[in-house]
Amino acid sequence: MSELNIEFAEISLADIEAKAQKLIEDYEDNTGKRVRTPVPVESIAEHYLGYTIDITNEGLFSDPHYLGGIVFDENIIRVNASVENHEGRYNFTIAHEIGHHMLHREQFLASRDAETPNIMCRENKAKPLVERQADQFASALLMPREQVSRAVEKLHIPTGEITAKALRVMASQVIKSGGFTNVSNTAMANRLITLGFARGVDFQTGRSIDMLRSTDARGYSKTDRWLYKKIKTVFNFIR
Amino acid sequence: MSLDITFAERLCQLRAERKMGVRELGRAVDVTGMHISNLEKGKSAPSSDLVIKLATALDANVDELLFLANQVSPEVIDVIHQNHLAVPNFLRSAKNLTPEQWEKLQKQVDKMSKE
Repeated sequence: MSELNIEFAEISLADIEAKAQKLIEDYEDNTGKRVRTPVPVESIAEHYLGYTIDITNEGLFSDPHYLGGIVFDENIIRVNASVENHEGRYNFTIAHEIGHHMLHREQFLASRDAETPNIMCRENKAKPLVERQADQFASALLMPREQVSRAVEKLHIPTGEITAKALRVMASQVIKSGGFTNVSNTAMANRLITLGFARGVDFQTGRSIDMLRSTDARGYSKTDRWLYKKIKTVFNFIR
Repeated sequence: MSLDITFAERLCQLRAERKMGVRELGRAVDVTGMHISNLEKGKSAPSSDLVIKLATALDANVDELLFLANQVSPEVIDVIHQNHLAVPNFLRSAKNLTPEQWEKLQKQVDKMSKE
């Protein structure tokens, strides 16, 4: 697929968070119901924003790297059939496409030319600025700050510096206690980092930063050097 | 019953009216969400069994959906099989009846069924 030839503006994380929160409030006003977790992103997309969700494995979506896309002209959100049974990925893809609607639709429609593709796509590899912004929006929509904070407080668990393994456990506990049943562990782990509940781990991968920092000039980590010393000691002892 | 609408369009309409998700509807009738999407795009034709399940899940008129999907209810097929001479003869005789006459006939049949 050809790349988007539109220069999109930077949007601060605070603005993205505010837009996601505003969408939830508008949806609540429209339906007269308070939004609880899991945030019903399918319903927001279809019954409030007027999109049709099309689950497909055709065309672009025969490639599982393309997780979803939005066609503004036809009011369609396409979701790759390969994620249909992955609750977290399915909902995150829809929330991500809603992000494009909220953050990029106007500029896309105003700035496009004959070269511009008619679809904005979510890939699971390349992450240009607009895709990162849509991811941030999806995170804020599916895991609102207030609800996540309440779930963390309810657990009475220590926050701050944390290992990758502890972050996974923490994410799983927050998902359970906060009822975030439509988000993945990775999405929640990243959200906990963004909201400042976890520090010291690498964004996206969940790898420990300490481990990365401790690699020496040759790329060996502390663990590698410790193991090398131990093996050498045993080897010398045998000899 | 509108003749100007396709089965795909009516399915989209009904799902929107009932505020059901595409996967939610799929799960209710034992097919994938992708299958529902394909039905809504007119890329797949449903079986009569699936139309009946969809009508139940969407609280819709099964005869309307069967008609739009170009399907005949298995119950109607049974009636034809059990009366394989009478039904075609009857339909041939009734082919020029007006809607009002059909309504009258329906009332008469309902009365006879209760006897």
